[in-house]
Amino acid sequence: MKKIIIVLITIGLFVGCDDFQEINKDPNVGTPPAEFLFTKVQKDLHTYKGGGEWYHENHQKMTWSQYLTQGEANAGDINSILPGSKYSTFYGSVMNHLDEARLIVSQLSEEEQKSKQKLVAAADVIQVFFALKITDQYGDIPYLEAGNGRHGGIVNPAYDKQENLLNTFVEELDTAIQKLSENLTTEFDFSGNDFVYQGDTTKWIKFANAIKLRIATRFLSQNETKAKAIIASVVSDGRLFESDDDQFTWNIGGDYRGNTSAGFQWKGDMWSAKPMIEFMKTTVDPRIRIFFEMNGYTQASIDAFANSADISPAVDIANDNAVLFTTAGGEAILGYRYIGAPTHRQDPNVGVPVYYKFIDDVVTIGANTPMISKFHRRLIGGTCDANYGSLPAATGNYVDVMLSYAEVCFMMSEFILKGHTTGNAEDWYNKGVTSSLTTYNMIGKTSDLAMIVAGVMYPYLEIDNAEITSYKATPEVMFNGTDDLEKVYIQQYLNFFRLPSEGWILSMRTGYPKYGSSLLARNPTDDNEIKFPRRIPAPAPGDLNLANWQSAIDSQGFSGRDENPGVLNSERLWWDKNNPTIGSGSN
Amino acid sequence: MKKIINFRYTSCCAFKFNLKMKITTILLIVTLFKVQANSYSQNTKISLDMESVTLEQVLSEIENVTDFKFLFDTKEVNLNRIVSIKEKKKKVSKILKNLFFKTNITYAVLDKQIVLKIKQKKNIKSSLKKIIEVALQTIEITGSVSDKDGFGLPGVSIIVVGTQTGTQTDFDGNYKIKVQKGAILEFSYIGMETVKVVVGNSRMVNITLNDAENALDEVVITALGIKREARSVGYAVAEIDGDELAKAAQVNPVNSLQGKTAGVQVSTTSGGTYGGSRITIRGNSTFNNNSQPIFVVDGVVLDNDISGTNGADWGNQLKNLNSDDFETFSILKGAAATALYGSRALNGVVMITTKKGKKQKGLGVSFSQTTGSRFIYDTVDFQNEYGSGPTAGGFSWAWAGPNATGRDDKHDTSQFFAYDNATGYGTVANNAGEEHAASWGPKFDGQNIIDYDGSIAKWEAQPNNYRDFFDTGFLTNTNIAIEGGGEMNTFRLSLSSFSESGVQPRNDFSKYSMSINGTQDLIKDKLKVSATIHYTRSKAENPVSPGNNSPWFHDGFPRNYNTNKWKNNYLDVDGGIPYPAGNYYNYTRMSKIWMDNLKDENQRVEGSLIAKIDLDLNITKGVKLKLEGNINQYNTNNTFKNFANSKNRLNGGYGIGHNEKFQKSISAKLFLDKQVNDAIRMDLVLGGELWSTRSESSNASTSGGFKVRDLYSLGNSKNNLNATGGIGPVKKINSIYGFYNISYKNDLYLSLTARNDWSSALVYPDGHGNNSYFYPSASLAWVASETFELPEFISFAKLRTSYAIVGNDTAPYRLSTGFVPDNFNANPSLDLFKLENGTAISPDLKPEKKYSFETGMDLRLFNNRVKLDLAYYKDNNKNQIISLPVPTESGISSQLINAGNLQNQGVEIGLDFTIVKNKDWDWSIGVNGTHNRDKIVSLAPGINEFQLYGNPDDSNAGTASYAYVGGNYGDLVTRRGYKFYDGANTENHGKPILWNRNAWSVAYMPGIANKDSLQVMGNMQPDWYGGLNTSLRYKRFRLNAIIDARFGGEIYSADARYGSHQGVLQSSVANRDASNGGITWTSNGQGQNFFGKTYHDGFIPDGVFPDGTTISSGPSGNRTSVDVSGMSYKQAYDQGLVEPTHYSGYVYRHTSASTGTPFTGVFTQSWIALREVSLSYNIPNSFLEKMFINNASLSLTGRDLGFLYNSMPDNINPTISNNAAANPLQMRSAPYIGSVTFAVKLNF
Repeated sequence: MKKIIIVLITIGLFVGCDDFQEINKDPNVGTPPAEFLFTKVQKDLHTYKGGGEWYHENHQKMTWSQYLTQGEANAGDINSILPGSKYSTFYGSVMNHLDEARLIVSQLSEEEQKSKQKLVAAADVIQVFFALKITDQYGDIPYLEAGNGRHGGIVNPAYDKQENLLNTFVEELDTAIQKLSENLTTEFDFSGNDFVYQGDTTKWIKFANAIKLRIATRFLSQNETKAKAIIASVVSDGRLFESDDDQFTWNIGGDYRGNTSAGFQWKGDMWSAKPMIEFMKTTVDPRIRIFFEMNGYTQASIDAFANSADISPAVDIANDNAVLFTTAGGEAILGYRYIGAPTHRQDPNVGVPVYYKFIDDVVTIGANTPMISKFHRRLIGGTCDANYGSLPAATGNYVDVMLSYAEVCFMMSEFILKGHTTGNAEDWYNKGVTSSLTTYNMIGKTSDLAMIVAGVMYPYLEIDNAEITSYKATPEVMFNGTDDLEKVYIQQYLNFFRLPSEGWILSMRTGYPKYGSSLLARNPTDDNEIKFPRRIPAPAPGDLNLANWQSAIDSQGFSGRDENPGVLNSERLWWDKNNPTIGSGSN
Repeated sequence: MKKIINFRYTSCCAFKFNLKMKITTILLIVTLFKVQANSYSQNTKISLDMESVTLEQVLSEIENVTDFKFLFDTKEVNLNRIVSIKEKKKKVSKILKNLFFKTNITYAVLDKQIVLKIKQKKNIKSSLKKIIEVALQTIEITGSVSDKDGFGLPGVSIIVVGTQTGTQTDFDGNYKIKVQKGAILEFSYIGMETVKVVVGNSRMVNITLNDAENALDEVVITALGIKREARSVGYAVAEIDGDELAKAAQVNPVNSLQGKTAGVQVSTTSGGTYGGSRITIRGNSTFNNNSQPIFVVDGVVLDNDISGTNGADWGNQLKNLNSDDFETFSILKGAAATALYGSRALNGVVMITTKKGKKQKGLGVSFSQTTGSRFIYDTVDFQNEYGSGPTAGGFSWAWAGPNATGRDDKHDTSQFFAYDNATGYGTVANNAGEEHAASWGPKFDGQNIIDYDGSIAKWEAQPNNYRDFFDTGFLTNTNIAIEGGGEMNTFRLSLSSFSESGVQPRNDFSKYSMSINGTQDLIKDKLKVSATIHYTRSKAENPVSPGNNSPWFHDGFPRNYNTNKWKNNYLDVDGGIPYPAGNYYNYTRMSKIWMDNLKDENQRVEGSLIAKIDLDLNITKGVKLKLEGNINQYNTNNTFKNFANSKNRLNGGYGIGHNEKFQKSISAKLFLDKQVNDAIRMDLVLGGELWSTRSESSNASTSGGFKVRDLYSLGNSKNNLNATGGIGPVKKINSIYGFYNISYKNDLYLSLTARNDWSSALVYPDGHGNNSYFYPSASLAWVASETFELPEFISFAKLRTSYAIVGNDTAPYRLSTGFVPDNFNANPSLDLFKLENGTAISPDLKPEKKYSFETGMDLRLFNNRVKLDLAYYKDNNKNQIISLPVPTESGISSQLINAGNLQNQGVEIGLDFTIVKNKDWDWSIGVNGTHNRDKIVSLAPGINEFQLYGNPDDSNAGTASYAYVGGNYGDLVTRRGYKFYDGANTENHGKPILWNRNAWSVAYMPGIANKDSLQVMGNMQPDWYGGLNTSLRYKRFRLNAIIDARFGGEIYSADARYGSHQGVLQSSVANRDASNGGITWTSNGQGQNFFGKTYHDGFIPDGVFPDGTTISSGPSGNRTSVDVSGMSYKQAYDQGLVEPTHYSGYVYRHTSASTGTPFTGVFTQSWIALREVSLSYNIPNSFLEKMFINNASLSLTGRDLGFLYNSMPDNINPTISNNAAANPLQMRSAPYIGSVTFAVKLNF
């Protein structure tokens, strides 16, 4: 017995003292300062888009809003709606990391917490900015209880009503603005961690106010009083974007050229849409060379197309020969270099596939030459170094203006015209047009948007002041008392070319571009108009949050996970309930 | 009962060390446990204080505290007499006097033996005197008892026949006994033949006991290497002779266990020479991908990692084991058997005991040489009637190439894809398209065609083109072992050299192994040190990657592909591989596969060191202490060279990587053994172990290609090197355990075990955690044939039952989550961090628990001619630590929680027959079978499914294995299933709907992805599996054969699906033309307008047209439509509404990844395999003596010789792609590889 006791004691000594806590700590993980997470989230604001927005949504939203035409005039898969990955990006990349950042700050000394107050406020602004995108298309979403599963253990956060969400966003932005405005004795300098605003807190305030204006547009048709109050609070604060420098420009530097996984055209080739192309040609809009690629016409193919023996009906090239601009190589670019695909399914030209087929071989001559303009592949849908055959690769940087000065200008102009606030609508409008052109010019320059004319590549051609002036003087553009509100909408619509979500929302919110407009008209999509979705179906709920999801679906009056476009067209989200039908132009 | 025992020694330092002892530990132990003096004296004084106890207890206590042994006749001495005794420092004789005062018992003390006798009243003195006289005439005999291998046998009972005198051998098999001259000593030991020896003049009697013929009482090696009588074991243990396994000449020892024993399922993979094989014992215990048993080599635990799940299959450390050194394999199946190995043994234990040296005269030298070959004896069944070409209505119209014209009718599969303008020959040149992979083209007829490189070739089948890809493998293994031993020591040295060239090109393996094993008595019979070292250096080259997507037989070898021509002719003039785009010369199909297989180099050199030192101390009779320290160091050193195949030859890569895993264990065990009386024997083992593992790695590789050609070095990297590595994982487990056995006569055996582990892996970063877990087991064996007089034909009957709980921790670092750098290559200057993963860790994780019940019987009939072993088991694995997916909006993707109740239930049967047994002939047959079901009783609240392996959304296989609550483990599911008709025509409800692709003029049943529901296609688990082995001896010849089999359970076969898709399999010949059953018809213009053309490949699919389907036909300009809604294709055809569909288009679409469904690849996997046949011959001694050879044997072994039955279509090889537990995928299977080896063994 004694021996046994001795052995047990000996073993006990062996076992007793150990350093398990240290042993089981993964040496490869640690806790960074909060600003490192802030930068990560800033990065993810865009990088998800390749795999998220551009892959899942934008080819559809751009088709629905008639920025582009899909396939052979909206044939095929246009209406198979995907839930997208934006939802999981928000909760799994953005919100949870911002929560972690706040948590890390909250564990600092009170003094340090205070000094990082503005970093945290900027983080809050980012969160609202992204959360708005989520509710914009999914409606009621979990928010107040969401994103904190790692610490709170809540795996089934409740869904918040969209109206409450929008109110909450405004409150959160107000609080953030207040924190950002405070005079602090010691202020943490996060300029090195903030590649958007370099730690400039005034710009963050302006950005927050811009988001508030976006939110106001969502309230307009449901609660005009609320919308007005938001607008009023922004106007009285007065800290609005004042130049292109203030807008939310995402440029991560280095040699980032976009997300290669975008696969924008995975459901079929995308082409420029005829109505938009025609309007831009009419107004000699210099943005046309930024938005679209030229077709591959050579003289031989021009001759071939003009011959009705080769193609029926022959393409009316002679009537489409206004000079749009002159390339750096001195080549005049005429209108027929930009030809849009018809948006109407039954258009006779749709049935001539060989001429609509785009073969990515710039040297091809003859009947295989592409006739229709494609979207500029270095601008949207993927990387800004997209390759054109054997032509030199681009070395530009990806840049994305996620909330532009022009957008703010056009919103202000709209609000003034509608009487929601006071001011000079024309002035805002003109500032908006100018800024949109200069901003796209900046994008074109930064992204190295080369121009290819019949197999010859010319460097990017900058938009100059003369072009801007002349553009603004075009009757279809000029603010002259005729259709001014429609002009504001159209310019906002054009400005949203690279923010298709906003373009789609604008189409639903305003009903513009409208059918039969003398300016930019929406074209019918079929003899019976195709019903386009006004919301995106939410992703499949996880097992553990099924009950909350179901009650949110029920309370919004939805039919569940229906992905039928007709259903998604008729079952509207709260913010959209009183909006006009697409193309009706009634708002 | 209160007992106070004081010890007193006559002399405290009678013990002399002859050796200079440098090992302080030993001194410590010696001091702690004060070794008893060896010369005993009557003057021994002890103290006893026992009240109201039986006499037996007193005697037993005296035996305990002294070296005295009592000898008496239980009929004479009333052991149950209640006595009280209180003596302080009294001589034993004095105590005895008091103890037997006024009783009829008298005693005599003879050195260490005390004889108790009934007083013969009349003649007390003479009686005593007689005893003393006898004692005085005795002589002391010493000696040792060993088994046939020279192992000392402890506990052998030695009785002087006709007396009560007797003793037992000690731990090392030594004994001493005093007997009269001429007495007869009887040596008996369970499982051995009893030997009687007449004591002559010699004072030393050494005995070798042979195994008893038809032993009922085999000894098996159980947990911790403890030998136990098989009859005493209350759970299933299977033991396999090491030499048997060595014969199989497999790199991976797992393979050689195929079919050997019930409950053990071995599935081979297509991982090549040294790739992994899946072994499961009694089903899957956990949801983990690795549910394989651990391997324990001489007490050193080796992880049995899975391999090949992610690219190259390098196998694991087991490939470094040297089968020449295996003595026995013990497979511990149930939890009760493995409870003492702790959590690592949750999936069972395979214990390997290696050969040891023996006490013998002179040296024993053995030599063995095995030489053999592995060869392909069969492949899947290919068709050899049709060559490459697209399907009818092919969807892809690739370029016909320069100077060529395409065919005029895309439904006419008898046309070539393109025709050379100059010669008019059909051409396959200049095209990389899928059309030339598929073999849906024209029939072979020997006509001239233009080959891939533009040369003229004959249009003829290449029946062996797939087989020709492979080599014939050779293997050779040489082993020399030297062993010996004397009074105080034994040793064994073994050296082996093994090399094998693989069947897969350049898939080679070689290893050099060395083992040293030695024992030394530091103090004779008291203190023994033994050490074992196994070291292996191995080199593995160019592993197979069965899971990858590189072309394989179904899309790499069109039936006209001339392997022997192209394998030497695949590089273009630049030395890279030719690219089809913009480079129209010499494009060779399969250049990529040739480059991968003949140019890339991938090598891993491993060092495996397994070493241990034991110290055995006999403290006193029945008390032993064992201290053990062992290490396992496993190093892998990788290098790879990726061949630069681009035009500029700069796109290659080079890298090196080092990884080291170091595990160590220190343990102490105390063995207490006591024969309480004739009937009851007890033993107790107490032990503790400190175990730890630590890994670290470093890898560097070039980035962005090379600066200059053909220089494979890190310095030649175009961009900055990629470097990764780090320390971890690290884990420690501390344990204490106890092991108690008690037996009653030969009838009843009870074992109890208890273990407590403390694992670092369950400690949270803040230091808290439920990291201590206790688990007990109990097992009972009852030999009914001892207790009852059973009918004579029953030779032996044993019932056994056990219950055990095994605890388990989790992987290290799993509880330690945090942030890691979010490397953003585009702008490395940014400081970005992100969450390491989206898993939330439950704050109060508990250890996993497995509850295991087993019962069984062992029945032997007709003089042991028939042996039946039955087992039933039921395991429930609860509280598994698994990562369960949670809704995204929680900010996390999964939660690490305790969940689940996975139940394994099964029945195992083993049946052995000895049919003939005489001097010249032996013939025995053994069969075993297992039925096992793994069932999911529960997961977590609200969770009904768990993804085990694979991805149902995968664009290629589209197949995963799942666990559903209430269902069986390993359901094969997909999201891409058939859609079943539920329209207006109720008659056809439930049949798959058809897609009628007008543009292709092809109808088929499509696979439709349904994102909301998964469809179950089958289940992986076999209905049963088993083996049959037979052994036939005629004089010196012996013939052995092993057959193993599996029936039921499904597998997803990518080869069957895509082999059909590409038209290379034999079954795809059906319906291709009229001679193969195709319907001949003349098109009336349905679909594509080929009005008036006649075809011979008509087929009627087994599906239903959805409502709203119309079929239009007729010549251009005069087309009419008919409605076929709700009709089956057959109904519509019979009514003349539809034409037959083109068979090739139907198959191609129906099995395609994009339009088909994985259902087309799911088949029942049943087979019977001829696993092994061997013939051996023992050369007669008379012949050998002249050559100083003691014995010699020759053997010829054939392994993996064929499938007697295979349920897979087209003779597909039923192997899985890797050995992950729930992997249901068969892809890229190897051809059928068999081996024949010839071995010579010589002992000098």
